[in-house]
Amino acid sequence: MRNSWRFILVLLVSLAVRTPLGAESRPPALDKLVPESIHDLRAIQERVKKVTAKVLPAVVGIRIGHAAGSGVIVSKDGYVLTAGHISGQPNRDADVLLPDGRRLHGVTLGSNKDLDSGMIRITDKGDWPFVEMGDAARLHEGAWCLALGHPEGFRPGRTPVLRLGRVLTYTDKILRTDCALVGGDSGGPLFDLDGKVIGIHSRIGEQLTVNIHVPIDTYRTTWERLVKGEVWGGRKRGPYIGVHLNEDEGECRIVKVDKDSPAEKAGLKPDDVVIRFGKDRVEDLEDLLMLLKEHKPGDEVPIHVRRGKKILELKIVIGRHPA
Amino acid sequence: MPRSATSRGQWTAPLWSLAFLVVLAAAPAAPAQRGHRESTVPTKTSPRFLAAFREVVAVPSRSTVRIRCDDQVAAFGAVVAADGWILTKASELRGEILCELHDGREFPARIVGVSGPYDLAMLKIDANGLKPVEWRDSTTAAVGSWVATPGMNPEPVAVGVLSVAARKITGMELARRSSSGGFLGISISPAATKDGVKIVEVLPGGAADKAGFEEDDVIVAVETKRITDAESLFKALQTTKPGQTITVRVKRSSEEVVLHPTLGKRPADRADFQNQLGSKLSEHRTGFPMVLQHDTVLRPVDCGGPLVDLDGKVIGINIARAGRTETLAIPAEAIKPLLDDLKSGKLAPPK
Repeated sequence: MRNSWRFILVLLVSLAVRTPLGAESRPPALDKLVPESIHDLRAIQERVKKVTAKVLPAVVGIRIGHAAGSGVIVSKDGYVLTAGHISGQPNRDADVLLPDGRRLHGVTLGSNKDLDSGMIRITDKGDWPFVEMGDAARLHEGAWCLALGHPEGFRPGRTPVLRLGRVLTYTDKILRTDCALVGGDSGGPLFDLDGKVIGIHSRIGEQLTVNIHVPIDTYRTTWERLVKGEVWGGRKRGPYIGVHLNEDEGECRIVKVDKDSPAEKAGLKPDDVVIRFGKDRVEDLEDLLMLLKEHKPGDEVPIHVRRGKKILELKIVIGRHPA
Repeated sequence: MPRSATSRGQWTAPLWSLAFLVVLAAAPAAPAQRGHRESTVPTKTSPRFLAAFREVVAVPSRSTVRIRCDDQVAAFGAVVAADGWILTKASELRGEILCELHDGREFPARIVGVSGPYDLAMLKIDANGLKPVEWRDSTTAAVGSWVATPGMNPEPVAVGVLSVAARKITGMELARRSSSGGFLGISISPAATKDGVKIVEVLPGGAADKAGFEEDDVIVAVETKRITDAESLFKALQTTKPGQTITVRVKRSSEEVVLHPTLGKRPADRADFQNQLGSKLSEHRTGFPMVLQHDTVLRPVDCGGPLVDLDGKVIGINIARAGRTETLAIPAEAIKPLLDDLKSGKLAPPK
């Protein structure tokens, strides 16, 4: 089952922390792979409590029409990071709900449908509580992280809901943790132990260890596009071969082959590593996705895979993605 | 608040689930399905991790009881007095009840008291010299504090952090996701009118639709109860059962109409679906008047016992695995005032 996570749900912004929480001495317990004693647990607890109290005022609920999600304010003048599937189309009215119950007016800005990043701006005038955006370069597997948001939507009287977990895997496109998320959390923030946003909640799989967040860096690198209200990405119903791959694995190893799919008919098997598609070399999943998009359903394409120690050349007839 | 003037609480899918639709539409049919590789990071369910909590649960596990009903593991319980008083989750009890103490001794138990709203039951066993739990108000624990659930082993059954501090649950939230009451199939405006509660949407094919309810009808009474606001309507419907035919008086234009809907069952929605992902939920998981919420992943049969802080003090009793992100506990400060009435029979079990 390691591979066939089905993305069932799509779930699910920056406080300027003037004195960074990490500026003082950082207890070694925060960086151990596993806490070893009650002393370590206390050190983690003190930090988690401090970070939570500090960032909580910037975690917001979002309502756009009948849809509800979460978000986080990352600037004093009210830019809110959220998920692309929450902000949706630009220039729509959005309600932004502060933890203290205040309801602010906002407008949706841009989104990247490929990574599920999105943005909203609070249009009411004021100085809003905000948090700082973190840095993926400081991420590592096993790092503690705090998920906050509004599971099942904003509920008056309930503060944003905290979950504590670890970074399990990450790439430049996704961040996976064991902070359990559910609908309504979409767009809510994932923080590191310095109180900086490192991800935005996006979607879940069946297991409690499959909670996917949009990595923060994309918001920084595409900030201008999001602010301008640009919407980009998203694939149409296109070419399909029927293989499942791990999106956070280095090579393009097949983990599952769909029944009756072009891949099955071509003789592809789980654990095969795709190394060449058509005339081009394939190093990872993104290579394969890009090459696939260059073909039309019905094209016959040679595909090279490594199976054990052997290299096989197979022929695959590109299909159309089932609706 | 014109745009969200619809309360979809009990009768139709909660607002947020629509976000799912948005995503499905936006989520592309990718040419290849994406999954994830395994991680080697020890999560909070790993034995190595739980081992760090041994000292935390050393004392409270001596006050923890394993409860079996008709030879099936049913729940945990908490010793609340040395002379054989044990508190547990009421709705998990059935048939012959047996309590296994920390030292391995087993005693048959009888139910002496039950608090329906809190779903707590007081059991009595014929034993003395037991070690009662040490209570501590949950208000002493800030959000982000570690919480552990002691069991019968040196390690806790599971651990997590406090997600939301103890809070009173309002009528509206009580009704949400409550699965036991009858289902009328309407959406209402949360704002009360001078006459009652206005219907803004009638679910096609639902109980209300079949009985002839119309949009803009104002509900004035359910059975003999006068309806003044959303909360009173929720309350009136909570006491009903699916299949039951009730009498509802509505005001339509200027006349009053009496309707007799046969209530349905609340349909499972996407909220239910997502919440079921990854863990099994308690059968009875809503309606508690006061709860604290933590992120421990707990099996339903591991509810009913103590929830402790890092000092091993009991800040609550685990009452339900309630969703993918939440486990609920009744806070210690809400339990303590109930203990005497549960023991004396003032809060007697239903016949």
